[in-house]
Amino acid sequence: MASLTAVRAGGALNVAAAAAGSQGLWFVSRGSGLVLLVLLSTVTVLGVAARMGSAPRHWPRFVFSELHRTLALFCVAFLLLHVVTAILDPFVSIGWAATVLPFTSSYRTLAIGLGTLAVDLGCAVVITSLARGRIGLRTWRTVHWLAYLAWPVAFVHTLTAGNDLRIWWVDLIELGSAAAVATAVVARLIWGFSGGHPVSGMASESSASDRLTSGAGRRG
Amino acid sequence: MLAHDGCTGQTGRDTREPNGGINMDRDHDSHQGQVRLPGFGAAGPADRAAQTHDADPASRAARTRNDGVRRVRRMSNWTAAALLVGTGATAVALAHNAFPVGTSTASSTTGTGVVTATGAHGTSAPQVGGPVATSGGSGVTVTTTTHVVNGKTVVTQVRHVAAYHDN
Repeated sequence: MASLTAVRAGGALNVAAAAAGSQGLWFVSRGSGLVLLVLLSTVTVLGVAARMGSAPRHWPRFVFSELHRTLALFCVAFLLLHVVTAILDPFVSIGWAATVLPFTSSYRTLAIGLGTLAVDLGCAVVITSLARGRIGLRTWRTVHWLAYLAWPVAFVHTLTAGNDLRIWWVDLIELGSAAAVATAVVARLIWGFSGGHPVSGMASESSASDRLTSGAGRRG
Repeated sequence: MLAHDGCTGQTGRDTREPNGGINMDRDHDSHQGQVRLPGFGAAGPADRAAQTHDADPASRAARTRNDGVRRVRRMSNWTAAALLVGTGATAVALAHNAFPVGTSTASSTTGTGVVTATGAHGTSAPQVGGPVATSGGSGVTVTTTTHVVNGKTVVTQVRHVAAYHDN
């Protein structure tokens, strides 16, 4: 019993040492990548739900729209964490240029290139969303369709960049994210083909919530 | 919103000394207990409207919107906390998977200078394809070779001690 406890304690020490040591960045990068996949999937589902005007009963419809925007900004923060830790990790040499230019990394060129492509597409979506008032609704919506391309590219990146698919809970995360986004996209397609009226807006409601948020921010 | 004057926990104590002077040792004002921060003394317009004209549809809508904004903020905060915790937990879980407890064995034979370690390190960490030779500057060169046997990575380290020549 005591030896078992000692072995477990030794294993915990190994884990702690690895986390704190040179491989810590590697594990944080992979962990943040998985969390980022979940976050990106949630943002996609929330975006579809906001577009369709779905919301739980007794909830204002702009709640989903506002959450969609907030979590998308969280995505940017976690993307920074994911990219910076991957580059600073001493085990692989990705290079700063590979964070912007796809398929220029010497380490797993295709997998990392897909991740870079997803980053570029996501940045285009986020930047045009922040500048929506200046570029107009039509341009913003056109660029926003790239989000439907960014998610599968990021998903393939997660499948090809890591060696974690043998871990059951990683498989569960991948499958759950794919199922959630696939369900949302199918619902969106059915809603679109059945003549669903666009929420008059997601845009107008967002701007209304912007006013509310800024007003509340001044108060609180 | 309330703020607690909890610097010393002494509430209600007079700062004036018994002889009538002011106690100069106290560097904070003597607000008692909980005090309101500036700007939070009165209820907001929507709250006042809700209290006085609850039946008014406009005020009800305003209150619903305020509830929604509060709900979004609360959910955003919890989500951010969950994401941070999730990242840490995932990183630790991946590290735990890379260094499973109890599966790592090591044997060392000092006579031949061969050290063999077995573990699952290679399942997720970057791998080296060929032997790696390292030297600590002491003249001892260690050649590390990695093999996968029955799904486990076997790391073999061979130490080469340079012959000593006394000039």
